[in-house]
Amino acid sequence: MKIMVCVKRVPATDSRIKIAADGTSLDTTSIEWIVSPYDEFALEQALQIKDADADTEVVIVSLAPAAATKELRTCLAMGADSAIHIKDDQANTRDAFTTASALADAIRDAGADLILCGKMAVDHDQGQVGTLLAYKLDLPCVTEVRDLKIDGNEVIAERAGGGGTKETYAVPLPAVLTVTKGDKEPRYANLKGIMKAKKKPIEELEAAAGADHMTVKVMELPPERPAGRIVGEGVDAVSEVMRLLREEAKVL
Amino acid sequence: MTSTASPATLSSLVKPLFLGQLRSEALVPYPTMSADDAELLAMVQDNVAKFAADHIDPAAIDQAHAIPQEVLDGLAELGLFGVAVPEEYDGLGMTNTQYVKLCETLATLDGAVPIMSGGHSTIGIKAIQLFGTDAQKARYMPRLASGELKAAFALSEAGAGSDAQALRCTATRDGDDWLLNGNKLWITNGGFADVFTVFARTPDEERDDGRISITCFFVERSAGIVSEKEEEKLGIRGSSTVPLLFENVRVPADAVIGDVGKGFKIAMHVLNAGRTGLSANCLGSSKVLIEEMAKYTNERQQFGLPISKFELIQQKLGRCAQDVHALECMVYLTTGLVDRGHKDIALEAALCKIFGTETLWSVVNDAVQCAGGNGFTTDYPYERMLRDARVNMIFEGTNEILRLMVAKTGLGELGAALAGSTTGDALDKLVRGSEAPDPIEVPAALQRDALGLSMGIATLAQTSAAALAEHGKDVGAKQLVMAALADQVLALYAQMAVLSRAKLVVEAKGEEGAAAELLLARGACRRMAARAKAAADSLRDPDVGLLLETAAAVSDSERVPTEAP
Repeated sequence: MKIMVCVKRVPATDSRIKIAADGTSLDTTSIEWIVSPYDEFALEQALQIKDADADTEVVIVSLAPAAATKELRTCLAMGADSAIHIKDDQANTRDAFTTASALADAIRDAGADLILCGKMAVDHDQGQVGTLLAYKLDLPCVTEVRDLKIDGNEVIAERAGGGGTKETYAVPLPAVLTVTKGDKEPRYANLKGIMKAKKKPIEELEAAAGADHMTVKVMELPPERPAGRIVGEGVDAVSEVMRLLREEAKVL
Repeated sequence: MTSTASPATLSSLVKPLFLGQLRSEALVPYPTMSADDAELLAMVQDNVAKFAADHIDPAAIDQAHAIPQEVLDGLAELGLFGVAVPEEYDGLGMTNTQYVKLCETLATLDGAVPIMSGGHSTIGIKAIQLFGTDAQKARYMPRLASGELKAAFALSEAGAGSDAQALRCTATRDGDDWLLNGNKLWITNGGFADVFTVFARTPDEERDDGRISITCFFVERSAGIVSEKEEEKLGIRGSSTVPLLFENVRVPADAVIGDVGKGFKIAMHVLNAGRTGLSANCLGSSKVLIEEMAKYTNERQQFGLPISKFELIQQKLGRCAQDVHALECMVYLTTGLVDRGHKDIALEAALCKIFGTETLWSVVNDAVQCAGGNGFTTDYPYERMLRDARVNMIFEGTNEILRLMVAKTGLGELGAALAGSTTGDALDKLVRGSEAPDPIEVPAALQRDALGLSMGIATLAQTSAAALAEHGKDVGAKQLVMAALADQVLALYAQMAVLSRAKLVVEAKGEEGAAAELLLARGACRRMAARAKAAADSLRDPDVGLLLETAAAVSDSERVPTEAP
């Protein structure tokens, strides 16, 4: 069983976001980078399959700038066997279609029984790459999978359906799944893993110079949040707070 | 000059300053990590930070007066106890720079965890790692790396604090074994450590020449070491600090680390080399405090403006940032020297420790002040960080002892150089003033500061020579003179580090790209030059006599010896 896990390098979720001078991209000068958390959920699912069946091979594939090897090594340190680094210094501004095409080319060449992605990268939050990848590879796709297991030639995938229902799918392999947070917490990369990761192979590919299909026109920061208000004190304020929650905040 | 086995380029940067010499060739280029080393470090830092976000609660650890067992277990699982252990013994084999940068990271996450980690990695395992036999290392190092065994360093005693030679704990031969007896005090990790690096007098080995014999032992707790009650402390409450009791603790001959009677050298070597780790703890805490200060003073409004718009707040932010910048440059210059193979960094590391601990103390003081009443409450982290910061100026060599050590070593160099000189009036010549060394080559924007550094070095050489000429061999007892020399050296080493790093950054990024670096470098250099000058001027302070006479009156009466009329 060969599992391909697609990961993306994204700004750490506690980064202080600044827009670059061009007005269409992030200022990345002082950003700390991490593996997108949903991709870590996907990797953890793959690693647990490997824990149960040692014949499983887990391969990381990522479209990322040439210098961005730390995130790939981190995945290897967590337990993946090898990585494919499709080098592209514009990786973080590529549109989903171009990203999916690059990933699909690499996966097609390497071959895979199961392809896992995070349900979305926490930078642009678009959530398109997984489904586009399935389309490119002409494979079935289940999105927002909470848990999964292998059963013979099928993957059994569990997801939340509408109205709080739980849906369980049986999908013939190969297949593409996008993974969301479930009960399996991603493991830490420990020292032994980091040592081993130093010797694990990272295959480097040059990204085919495909043009993006769309461009970001303007990127803006959210408006500053207005200051808090004190609407009254004690019990007297309850009805006003309820009204504001209903009518202004629209959370009730 | 005393000759050393190592090549000249690998000898101390600080010692030649006392002779008015600036060794640019060892200072430039400023050391940097390889891309691979930086990546490995970042992975470890990320994972530790991730673990901390999930499991480490500094306020809870402070209140519980202990690091929870599951945190210790988690850190062991993560591999924290093996970061400094060589790869051949299943450790990560970090370079000195990597390790010290990790110390800095740990200090941003908690107050007690970096102390616990340093108690193990910086001092607890160092003696066996550096001076142990292959058999001793094979037996212990892999288990020390995994955290299965946690280590402590046991040197201090009730009567042997700054004066480590005054040890009373003894080890006496009993057949092939040794029997250890006595008490140790202030032992970090002592409450839970499994193995102890213990220093004891070996009186049977002493001859009649009055020199004492100290031997280093690596002792398992199960041999019979008893931990007494945890100390109730002002700060770093989560770290374990206990007295140890040895009553006929029997250890085998192969528990001796290094040679019998060579323990004092081992202890000093471990402590000298370890002080950069502690200074990096201070660096990490200081950076966190500056971030908190900057956020707080941006948000806090008075008179219709964020208080960061007021000059008395800006003064604090600016000074803190300049000092922390200088500290960072110094610490990683020093660790870089170690990684380049410099063995003789005792003075450099001591200066990092003095400056780091005092910088943190002033930063935390300013941070509390900026936060006003909030800074004084337990709702904010400031009061805890203030309590945690205080001990740094006391342990791992008090700052007073380290200042004396720096000046004594420096004057020793100067004395030795003069003794070897053929001209009899070499000292007089130096006292009259020596020529400033050639300034280091720096970008145009820093030339004035490079010149200032050279002038400061000349002043140090002149004042050092004057101190030797005036006090001769008794200069060591003139502690105010010694401290004034040490403070000059500290400020000079800081300027060297700042200029070297700025040169590197400007060459890589251009003056425009390095604007922030240049701003901080210039500010830090001016501040340090002023500090060096103030220290030199203090040597001519005519009021020292009044001060010392007053101290004597206080000591006699044990009170302020005056009454209000």
